Amino acid sequence: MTTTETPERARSGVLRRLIRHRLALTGLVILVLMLLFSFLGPLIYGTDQVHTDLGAVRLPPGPGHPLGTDELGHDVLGRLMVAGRVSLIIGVIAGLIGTAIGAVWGAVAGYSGGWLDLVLMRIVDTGVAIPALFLLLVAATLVTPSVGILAVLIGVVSWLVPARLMRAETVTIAEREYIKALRAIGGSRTRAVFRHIIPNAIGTVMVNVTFQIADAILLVAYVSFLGLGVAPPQTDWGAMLSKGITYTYDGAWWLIVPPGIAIILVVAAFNFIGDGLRDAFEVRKRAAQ
Amino acid sequence: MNDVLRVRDLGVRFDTEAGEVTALDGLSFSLGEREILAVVGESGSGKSTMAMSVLRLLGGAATVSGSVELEGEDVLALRGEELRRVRGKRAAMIFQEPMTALNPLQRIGAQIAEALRNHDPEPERLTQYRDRVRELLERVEIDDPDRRMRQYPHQLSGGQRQRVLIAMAIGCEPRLLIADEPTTALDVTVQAGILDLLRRIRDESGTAILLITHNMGVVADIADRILVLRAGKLVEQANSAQLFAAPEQEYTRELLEAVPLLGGRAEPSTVDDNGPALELERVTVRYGGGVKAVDEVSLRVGRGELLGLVGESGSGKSTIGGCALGLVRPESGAVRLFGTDPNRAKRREALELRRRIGVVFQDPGSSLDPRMTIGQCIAEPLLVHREGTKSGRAKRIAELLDAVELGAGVADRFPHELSGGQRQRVSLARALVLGPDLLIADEPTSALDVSVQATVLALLARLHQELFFGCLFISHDLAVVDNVCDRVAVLNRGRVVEQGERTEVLGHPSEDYTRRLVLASPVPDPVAQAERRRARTGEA
Repeated sequence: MTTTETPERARSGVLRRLIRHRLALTGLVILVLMLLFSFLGPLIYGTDQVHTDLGAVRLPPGPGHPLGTDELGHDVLGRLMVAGRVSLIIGVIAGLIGTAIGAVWGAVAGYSGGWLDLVLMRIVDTGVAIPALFLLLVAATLVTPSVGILAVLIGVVSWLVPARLMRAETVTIAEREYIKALRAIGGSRTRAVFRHIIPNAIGTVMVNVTFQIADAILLVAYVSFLGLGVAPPQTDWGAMLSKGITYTYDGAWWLIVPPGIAIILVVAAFNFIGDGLRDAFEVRKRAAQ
Repeated sequence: MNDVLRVRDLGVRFDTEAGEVTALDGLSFSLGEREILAVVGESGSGKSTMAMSVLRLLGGAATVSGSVELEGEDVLALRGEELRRVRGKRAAMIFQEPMTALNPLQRIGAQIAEALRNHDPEPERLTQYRDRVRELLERVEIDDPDRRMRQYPHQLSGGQRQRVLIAMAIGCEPRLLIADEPTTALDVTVQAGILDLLRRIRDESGTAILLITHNMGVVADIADRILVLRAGKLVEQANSAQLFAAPEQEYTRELLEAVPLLGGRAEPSTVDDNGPALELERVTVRYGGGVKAVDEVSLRVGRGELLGLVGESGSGKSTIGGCALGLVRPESGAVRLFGTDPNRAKRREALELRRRIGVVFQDPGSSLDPRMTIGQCIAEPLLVHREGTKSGRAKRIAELLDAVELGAGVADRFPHELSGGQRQRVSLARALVLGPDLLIADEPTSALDVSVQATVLALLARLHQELFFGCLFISHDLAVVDNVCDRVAVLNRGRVVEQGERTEVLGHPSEDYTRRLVLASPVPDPVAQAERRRARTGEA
């Protein structure tokens, strides 16, 4: 350990360890590639994803259509790109919303203690008992989901786990002697929460964000697979799977395999990054002891 | 004399992320029958690693070299089942933390019986060992063995649990007993009993004992011969009387000098009365509606006075500190800071009172926020009370870092880059940043090595001379209190049993409990320790 480490260098230490983590690096590379594919891909490989072309329905992969076409004549490779945008945007927004709500909820419960803690956490317990997918399906039947609405919906049903996590972190941190020392000289609660507890829990929270995003992308896929996703002509990877599955027996594998692989890659990438982040932060914690 | 244990050129290296670390290097010694060999050293000296390597209990990251012969057999060459036969049968181990060394879900009797069955050539049902278990519990002097056998670990006190572990260890009559800090987690009065028991086991069965400890008083009480380790290397090896009377090596001398002596400071201190800093009047605290943690305690710390509050674990000393700091609200009674009760004062006034106190806690690992720089940690009380400009604060931080002998250069570092002793100095600087009139120090040096403790205590004494704050000094260590404080209050089960001038209370205790406490506190002098043992056992 060098003796003159500045905050910037300490932070870059986490980044350095993350990059050194082989699995996390793999995840990062996959993620960047998928982002480029979804957001910059359409600029290079332009296709018409709005109008149907009934003259070119379910063409197998070949010249002009590297991954074939779907049942409405859309080019599958191009469709994979625009669907990726929807999946990634919803995933990231929902993951962030879920973690943010959960972190605040958990920190308040954990630091207040007493009856407030009891009430807040029993609400979480109740929420955990109701399957998120069920809530989502009910909501999706009531409103026609746009990308924004779906992102918020998924975020709102997925804050429970981060809330528990944050509460546990808060309870441990609140017992530390530097918090007691602060309280003893008359330091405020706000100061304790924002200057000490949140900065010290940030590692755990950031790791959780990556897992939340992966979960959210899967949830979008489930909902769309069940036919309650974003409205056509928009689509996402789950919706592509759902439509493609109808033609399995016709041998149209190119309708299922590409979106399936895309989902697996992105979810795995976020999980790898999460694992890497956790290790990177833990090394820092170990050095702190 | 036959050697039970012969260690030659023992080396242990650990493979870590940061590269290879040498924990032990070229250690050779032997241990004879009926001998108690103490291995002493400060943290990181490799003493526990040594104990673990005798029974090959180190994990896969360790590379062990050299040889360890137990009754002529090389332990390092043993594999699998052969090794299992040796562990517990020919050499047994006693650990530091008796709560985690016992299975909380199994009855005491069954756990001891299992230790016996492990080495029984014809294993029987656990219940078949009942008579032998009772006999063992009697040997380790546990009251009412028949009832204890049916109890679970949490129903026993710490000392009783340690006795159970000793019963398990001696069950198969091993020739060697390895005790790794066996009394560190225990109160002094309980510690004295455990040491007596170990001595008796040695006398009755001729067992050789390898005792690992950091406490020189324990060593003086029980050891025949002593090894001093430092950073994995042997510094000195001598018999007990010789080592304490005339240490050969400079390091050993420093180590012995750093140990605070009970009764080592002769002159009584005189403090003029400058009015009260902290007063507790008939304070009672009850946790969860149950037992009284603090029972009608009245105390007074004058301005510029150092009051030592001593007591064993569970005596309520930290709770009293919490009351003074406003972290614990008393059920009844009054806590007054500089004559005013902050619990009854207006918010602004209470905050003004809190501004005048500083606090230092025990654990250097959690007393500073790991994500703040040292400078930020020290500046926090200034920010809470909105004091000073940015440059003024920086100047104050530099001043204080100089005052605690760290130098202004560490202000930009993070806590994990500092050692435990350095972190406690930073805590002290933070406590003093507002120029307090009262300092609450709750076991400020208990987690530190003796040499580090000595420097931190010297620093505290110097700062007290210069700044003249009142101080409530909470400690379990009578010798430390004797060296630091002007007056002493002795706490037992939430009550103050005795308080008064230091030389009076610790030198000529008038209460039975204080006398027992003083006699049980080991002093690093084998001759004096033998006398004290006679006085203690004669009294009992």
